[in-house]
Order: sequence, then structure tokens, then C-alpha cells
Amino acid sequence: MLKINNLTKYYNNAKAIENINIELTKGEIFGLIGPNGSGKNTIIKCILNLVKKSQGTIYLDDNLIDSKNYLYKEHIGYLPCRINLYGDLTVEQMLKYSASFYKKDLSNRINELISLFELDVNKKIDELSYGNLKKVGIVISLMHEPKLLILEEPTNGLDPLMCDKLFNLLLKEKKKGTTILYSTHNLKEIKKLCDRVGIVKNGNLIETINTNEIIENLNTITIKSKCVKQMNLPLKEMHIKSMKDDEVTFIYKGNINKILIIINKYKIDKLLIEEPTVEEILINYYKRK
Amino acid sequence: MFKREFKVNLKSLIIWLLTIVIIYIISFIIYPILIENKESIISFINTLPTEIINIFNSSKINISSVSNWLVTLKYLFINLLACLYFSFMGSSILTLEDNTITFLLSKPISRNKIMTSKLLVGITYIIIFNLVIFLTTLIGLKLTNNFVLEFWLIDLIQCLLINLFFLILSMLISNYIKNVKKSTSLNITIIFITYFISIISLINEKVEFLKYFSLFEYINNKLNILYLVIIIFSIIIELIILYKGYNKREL
Repeated sequence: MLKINNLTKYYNNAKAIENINIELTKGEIFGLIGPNGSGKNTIIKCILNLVKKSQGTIYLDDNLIDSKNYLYKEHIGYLPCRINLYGDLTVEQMLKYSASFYKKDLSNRINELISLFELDVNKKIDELSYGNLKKVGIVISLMHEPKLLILEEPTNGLDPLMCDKLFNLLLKEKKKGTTILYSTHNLKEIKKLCDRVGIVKNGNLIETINTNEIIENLNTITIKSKCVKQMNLPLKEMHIKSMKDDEVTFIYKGNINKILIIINKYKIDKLLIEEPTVEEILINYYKRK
Repeated sequence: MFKREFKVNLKSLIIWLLTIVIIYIISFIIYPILIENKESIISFINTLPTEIINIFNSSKINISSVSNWLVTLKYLFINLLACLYFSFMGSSILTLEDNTITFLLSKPISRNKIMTSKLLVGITYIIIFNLVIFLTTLIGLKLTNNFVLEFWLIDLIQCLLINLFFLILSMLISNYIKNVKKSTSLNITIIFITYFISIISLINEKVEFLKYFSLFEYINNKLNILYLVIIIFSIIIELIILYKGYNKREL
């Protein structure tokens, strides 16, 4: 559905992304993770032709995306990380204006989305809270039922109830065949929605893996014990996050039983085994690569 | 898109137009007073050194008739104000969109179409602006039986072209300088430099050729084909650079 081959972008001589290869199938939700400035946004900008790629090709449904082509955007919905809309318009006017760029009548779909996200359409964009602005952005990205939906941190500013509504909606869209490129820092969202995840580091896609593999055998472990320094922990397999006199926190990739066997010989004051955050997953992968 | 852009800038157009129309009305009102003191004003101007007269562009001050008085006013203030206004407008029309451009460019619309819509709004404003001034002049001068259609029609065409030149120039500058303050400052500087070049070309005959570089000299109510060719050619060059630059612009 979306095929990115050897995508490279240089800003003057500075590398932003290099040799990115991603292939998304119809109805797939693909998570894109990586720290700020790693190149996630540049990949998205290249897809939308907001910047000109230095090398590589992008195909949407076998149609080449190039700088002269803009009609393919009819099939793309985009929710940017920072939403900037026309502050002088009301929500209703903004949605109508956005709908005016598409050929088909979107009024029924817009009304559905408005009631789902409980939007006050008479409010001016400038008067909206960040969360409500985000909701307007979500409606704009979904109103034309795009084939490819690109979302950048869509839950930022949304309350848990709205997040749930959004997740359900996205899963419904997925069933309908919408492909979703989902850029986030939130592991729960990745686990809940994504089929696969791409990890971006310094402009390179260092790994593409299935979501269940990403956290398999990966844990953040905190051990508090007066004997912590005497423990023969497998340092090569772990990444120490913090170390005090009697407490250590580390990310561990491997069978947790191995750690439990080691620490079993000592008196333990505290043992905490947590699911890793996105940042911790990144640290683990960065360390390996 | 045109409709939205048109609405956004309408308020400022009305304010600028009202200001200029009020200046016009006042100038009509004070003209009889000027005429009463005509002799003393002329003798005062004559006491000034030529350089000073030229620096203030006073050589163009002519109050012998209400029509000449309006021409004077147009040379000294109105043309400068109009160029400044369209320069501000050209600058803001692009820089204000900078925040929302991601929204626009994620839609199935070409960059050329976005630029053309903005340009068309600018051109419509230029036409409205100059037509209102033209009609104000017409009404005022008709009332005093001083209106010469051909003279003011040439003025209208010249003003339309000069305003268009500055509008596109400021859009062009804003395309490369994203900071509103910096691009506006540069635009104002260019306008004033051009204005003063026209004055310098009047002071010294040796640098008379400089008048070709000052667009303010082009507004002289005389049909000058060379000036017309230069300005139209400049506008075409500006348009080519503007469209090419906007299509290459990275966000």
C-alpha cells in the first residue's frame, strides 16, 4: 500500500534520514518510534511532499509520489504533532473549509465524528483547549476516509475517555482497510494498536519488528539490597539506568529467571519488575545497534 | 481559498482606505485655505535652497489648481502609503500562513494554486484600493470641474502596476525570510530607498539615470512606454522567481 525505498533527505549537507525502507500493507498499523530529532518527522514530511527528498522513491498504491504530484493527498489523512489551524474560524467553519478540498460530500462523516468526539462546533478555534484542538485535528484527518492515515502523537492532550474512543475508531478504520502510520512515544498505544514497529535512530531505520517482539523478554528491573554491589549480575545483557549504594535500576533483555536465580542468594529489600517505556525500549535497541 | 484569504485581510484594507479617503477629503476642505495663502506659500518655497526643495520632493508641489494639489498629495504621501500597505500585505499574506501551511499542504492542492489564490487576493485588493482612490478623486474633481479622465486613468494604471510590483516583491522576500519582523523591515527599507533614489535623481543631473531604478518616478501621469515595459518585465521576473521559489520551499 505504501512503499518507501531508500528514502534519503539531506538539509544542505546535514543528514536527516538515510536509506529508509518501509513497506506497509493495507489495513496495517505501523508504529514509528524514536527520540526527538531522530528523523520520524522527516519521513512523514517526505511522504506529504512538505520537503523534497534527496533520494529514493515513495509509492502509494503503486503510484509514484513526486513533487509534481499532489492529487494523491486525497487519499492521505494527516494529524501533525503541532496543530495549527485558522484561529478566526469556528470549529464548524474550519471543518467545512477542510472538507472543501475534497470532491465528495463529507457532511455525514463529519457529523458522526463531531458527535463521537463531542465537539462544540460553534466555538472559535482560538478559544479551544489543546485537547479540543487535537480533536478537531483528528476529525480533519479522518473526515475523508483516507486510505493512509498519518498520525503524530495523536493522544497528546486527550483525556483517557477520548483516547479510548480514538483507539476504537482507529481499530475500526483498520478493519475497513485503512493503513495507519502511527508516530508515538507511548508504549501502551503501540501495544494496543500497532502490528509492527519501526525504530528510528539518527535518521536510520535500525529495526522493524512485530509489536509483540519488541517487549518480549524486555524488562526494567529495580533491586534494592545492601548486597547489590556483590551480585554477579549479567552486565553485558543489561543497561544500567541508575545506580546508588544499595539500589540499581536496569533494563534487561533476556529470561527474567536468570536474574531471580542470581539475587535469590541475597537479602532483598525491594524488587520491582516493570514493563519498559518506549525510551527504555529505544535504549535497549540503540545499545544493540 | 480565495474567499477565506479575502476575508482575512479585509479589515486592514478598509482601515487603510478610510485613512486615505479621509486625507483626500481633508485636502479638498483645506484647498480653499491654501489658495488664499498661495502667494505666501510659494514665496516660502522659493526661499528654500533647491537641494532642500528636492529632498522634500517639493519641486512637485503645485497648488495652482485643486487637480494639481491632489497630484502633489499623491506624489508626496498617497503613493508611498499605498506601496507600504501592499508591501505589508504581501509580507503577511505568506508569513501568516507559515503556521497553517502544513494543514494546507496536506490537502490535495498544488503549491501553484495556493500561491495563485494569494496573489489573486492581493491583485483584487490593489484594484479595489486604487479604484476607491480613483473614484474619490473623480467625485472631488467633478464637483470642482477639474477632472481630466485621461490624466487620472494613466495615473490609475501606473499605480496598479507599482503596487503590484511591491506586493510581489514583498511576497518574494517573505518566501525566503520567514521571520515577519525581518522581512517587513527589509520591505520598508527597499520602499524608502526607492523613494529617496527618485529624489536623488532629481537633485543631481549626473545621477538622473537613477530614476529608472525608482518606481516612484514611474508614476508621473504621462504615458511612458519605456517605463511601462520595465515595470511589466520586472513583474514577470518577480512572478517567475516567486513561483519557482515557493515550489522549492521546504517546510
